[in-house]
Amino acid sequence: MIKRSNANISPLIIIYMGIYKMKKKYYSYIYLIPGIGLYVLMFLLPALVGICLAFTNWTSYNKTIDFIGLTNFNNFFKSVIKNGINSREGAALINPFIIAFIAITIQNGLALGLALLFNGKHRMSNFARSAFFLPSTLSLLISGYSFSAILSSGGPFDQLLKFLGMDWAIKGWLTDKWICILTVAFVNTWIWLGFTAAIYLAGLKAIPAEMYEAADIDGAGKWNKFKYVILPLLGPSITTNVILTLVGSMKMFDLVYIMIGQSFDYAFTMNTLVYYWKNETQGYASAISVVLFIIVVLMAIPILRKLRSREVQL
Amino acid sequence: MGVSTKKQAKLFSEIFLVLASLVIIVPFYFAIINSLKTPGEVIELSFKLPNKLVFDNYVKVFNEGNVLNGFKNSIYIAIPSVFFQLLIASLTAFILQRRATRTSTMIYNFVVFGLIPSGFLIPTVLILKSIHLLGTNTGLLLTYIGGGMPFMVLLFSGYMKNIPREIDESAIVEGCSLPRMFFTVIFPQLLPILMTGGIICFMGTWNDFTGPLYYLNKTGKYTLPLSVYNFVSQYGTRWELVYADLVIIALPVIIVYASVQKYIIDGMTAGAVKG
Repeated sequence: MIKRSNANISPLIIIYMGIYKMKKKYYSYIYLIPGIGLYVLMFLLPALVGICLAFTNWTSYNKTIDFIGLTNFNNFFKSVIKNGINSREGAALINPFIIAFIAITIQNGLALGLALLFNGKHRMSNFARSAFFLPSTLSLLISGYSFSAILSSGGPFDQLLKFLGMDWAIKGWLTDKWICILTVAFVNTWIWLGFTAAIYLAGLKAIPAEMYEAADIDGAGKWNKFKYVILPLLGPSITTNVILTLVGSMKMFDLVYIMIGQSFDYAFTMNTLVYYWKNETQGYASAISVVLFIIVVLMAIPILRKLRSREVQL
Repeated sequence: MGVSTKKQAKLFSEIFLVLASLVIIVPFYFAIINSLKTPGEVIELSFKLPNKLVFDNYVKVFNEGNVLNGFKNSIYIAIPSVFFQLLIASLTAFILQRRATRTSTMIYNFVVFGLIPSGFLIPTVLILKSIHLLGTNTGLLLTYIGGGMPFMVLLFSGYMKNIPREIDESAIVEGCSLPRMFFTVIFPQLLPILMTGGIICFMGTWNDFTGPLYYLNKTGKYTLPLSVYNFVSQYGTRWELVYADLVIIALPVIIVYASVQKYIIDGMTAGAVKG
């Protein structure tokens, strides 16, 4: 019977425990105080306060703040149910989904195509990559205002359509209640295309060349290479991009505010509706924020899980 | 002897890339040419070139738009924002990544989760009010640091995974305290990702106008993006000045971008944002 000598094991255990203890003490939580502290203060706390506010009737006119339970939420959804998408609330509820759908499908699709192009050994790749990335680095004010002018009634774009004999295609790009949301989604895609493509490009560059060679040996053509090599290995980039575009579109405020929000006559998204009410009925505005928060979380977590599970490890 | 189809395809791709690049820049071209028109010309809001380059518009914007003040305010906010975000987020990410216990992973997930919901703006106004920081630059700065944590920590954590622990351990063996170890040993390793993070921070802060809109209340404190509102009113918008202002706002970012764009792409490729 071979007896294992304790002398061989205990020093190892002692060293291991020592490292473990040292690790905990060395990488002490004290250094987390500034970072996590500010995160809690500027993020968690407002979220909690916001949730509480959503249950009150706080307005600029009330002298007191009372707890009114789910009244704000009732009012919101009553308006949605009663007038559907013709009410402010209904429109605000559905518009982010429209923008998100376009962002997730068209923006990601185009960006992936661009990334594949940038990845090819073209002389103009770097130049094009930089050019496409530029819109996302500048303030969206400049894109927003430029497109507002270009797409205005009788503006350059309409003139171009007329010139091409496509009078029938002219629509109220920024004036029609539903087309304006598509316009905003289009401008949003324009701005972020390069950024999304850059993330895909980074993912593409991480695919080792041997994968393509192996596919070649198996006789795979371009399409099969795309389907069986690129798409699976691009998993993490797809996850990142889909989540970023989804969340960004649902939360959108800036671009909507600049392009169509200033007159507040028609199209709202959830966050512009919050801004609309923020100076008067803060309780109601907070409730809208909470509804948006719940919707985004309910959408993002399953999607994140599903995308993570299809990420293929090299 | 024609050009082979493969070469044809390549040529087609090159041409497409050039054309697409020019198309994507169309809005900026529009802004630039319209910023140099007379008020009479700019009303049309067209792509026609200006008859004469009216640089006077830029002078007017400087004088009437409080641009110098806005510029100063923007710099005043952007530099501390970048500095503190990099410092605090890198330290936080470092501790969370190295410590690797279940609690620290939980905290990490909790921080990165912050990417998903949007910041509750009204409560933040209340909180800032209660600590007497509403309408101050410091208050705005705190919202940037707190709000930037999710993305920055995600960025740094991914990068730090690739820094071997042996480096830590060799410093520990020599009796380095953690702050000292972090700044002398780890920080130099982080330079590439610090550049990427710094650029993203800078651009986010410089271009942001929702923050100043909600949290700053004196026009004297307004940052550059908000200076555009000086020229937009219900009584008639002076577009030539608006576009000149927008170009002025864009110039610093373009300069920064042109000099460091290599780092942005490299940083992303280094595995930070891949997923």
